[in-house]
Parts: sequence; C-alpha cells; structure tokens
Amino acid sequence: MPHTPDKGQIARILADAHRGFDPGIVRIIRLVADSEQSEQDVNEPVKLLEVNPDTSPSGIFPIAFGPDPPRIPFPSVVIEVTEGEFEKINAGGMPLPDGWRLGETLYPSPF
Amino acid sequence: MTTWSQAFAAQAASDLSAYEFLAKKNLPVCHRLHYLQMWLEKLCKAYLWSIAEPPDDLLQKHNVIAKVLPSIVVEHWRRVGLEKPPNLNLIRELCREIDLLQPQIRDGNRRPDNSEYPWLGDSGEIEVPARWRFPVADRLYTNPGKLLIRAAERFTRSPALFADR
Repeated sequence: MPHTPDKGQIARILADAHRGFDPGIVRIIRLVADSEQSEQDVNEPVKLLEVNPDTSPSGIFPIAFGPDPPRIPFPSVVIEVTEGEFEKINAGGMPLPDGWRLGETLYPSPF
Repeated sequence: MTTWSQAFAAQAASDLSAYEFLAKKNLPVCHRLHYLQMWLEKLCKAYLWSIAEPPDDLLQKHNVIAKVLPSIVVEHWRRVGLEKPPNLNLIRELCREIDLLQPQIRDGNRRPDNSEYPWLGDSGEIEVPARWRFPVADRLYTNPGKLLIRAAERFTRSPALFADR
C-alpha cells in the first residue's frame, strides 16, 4: 500500500518550494485547526502563513488551492503577510480565520 | 450548485477570452488592459478561501492582484516543476501596475491614470485612456510579464480550485 505523507511533511515540502521561489520570505509558520480532529480530516487544507516584506500590507487573504497528487495529496492554503502584520497577529490584533491558530515554525528552521 | 469560487473562475475565463480577442485587434491598448485587470482580479478572487461566504466588501474589492497573484504564480511554478526561480519581485511590481489600471485604485491620487475613465493629468490637461501610452503594456512582453500571463492562463483554463467550500 502506498505511503501517504502526513500534513507536517507536506507543509515542509510546500514551505521549501515557496522559499526556493521567493527568497523574500523571512518566516513560514504552519497554521493548524483548533481541533486535532479537524486537522486530521483529509479535506482540511495544509495551511502556511508566510511572512514576506515584499507583499502589500492589506490584511489576511487566504489563497486556497486544490490537491496536486501525488506529491501534494491535500488541499493547501497560503496566507502572505508583512512583518508588521505578523506582529499584529502575534499580539492578537489581527485575527486568523476562524478555527485556525499558529503552529510550528517551518522557516527559519527551529533546529 | 455553483460556488462563489467557481463563479469567479468562470467569469475570469470569459474575461481572458475577451482579453485575447482584444489583443488581436487594432484598438487602443487601454481596452485589452481593462480586460486584463478584470480577468486577473476575478482569477484572484476565485482562489480566496473567504470567498466561501464572501462579505460584500470583498465582492466589490479591487486591489487584490498584487496581494494574491504572486502566490498563484509560485504555485504554478511549483506544479510545473520549474527549477530556476525567476525574479518574483519584478512580477510583484507588474501585478501592482495591473491593480493601478482599475480607476478606483489611485495610490493616494499619485496614479490617477487608469484603463477606463479620463483623468486630470499632472500637466493640468484631461487625459484619455484611449490616447494614453501605458508602460505596463510593454512590460507584459518582458520575461516576467510572459511568466505572469502563462501562470494566470494555466490557473484560469485548468483551475486548481479548492472544491470543498
């Protein structure tokens, strides 16, 4: 039976690819659903918050893509924000979409 | 039942056809730039997560191309397996110029030029889109311009929409 990668692996693949194409990205954080059960749902997208000084400071615009099997078997969402917007998100002044929260930092690597 | 996302994608595809039709005609460049801006704005809205239950201000909102289209271009490059990354900043600049074609996007009145309505120019003369030379039109034929259009065409003609919304 083929091995299906988990969402953490897919998030890293997407983060590495995005960093490769856009060196302006200074930080990538995985977003996860508040509920573990929701996050495990195959229809729940892999979600990345990308901090990029080159984007416009116009708020939270989640961009959603369908799956791209076999490499990316899940739907995905990218939110690009400036560093200032990221500080607001961290401080609770700019809410993420309902039911999503900040997860692990994918770039720069915590290790 | 058609979702908002599918509806925006369908209208974006129709706008793309109109843009291509106009590009072959001997008409002032403002007309095809008008359809370019409308096409790309609707394409961007088709990929927005929040379009599942869109607030009214989002449906009417312009100024989304520079924010959204670069991520669509990057996803296109990832899907086609592009190895050498082109200069994304040039593509971002081009996206911003396309946003500015919309008459309501004026960059704090610094950029009244647009593809649709006459405006009062810096010289005090009233300028007409049909007579204006839009530098952005030439930039579409540069390498970043071609890469941008290719990615947008792919995601318009073969949408990679997130269906479960």
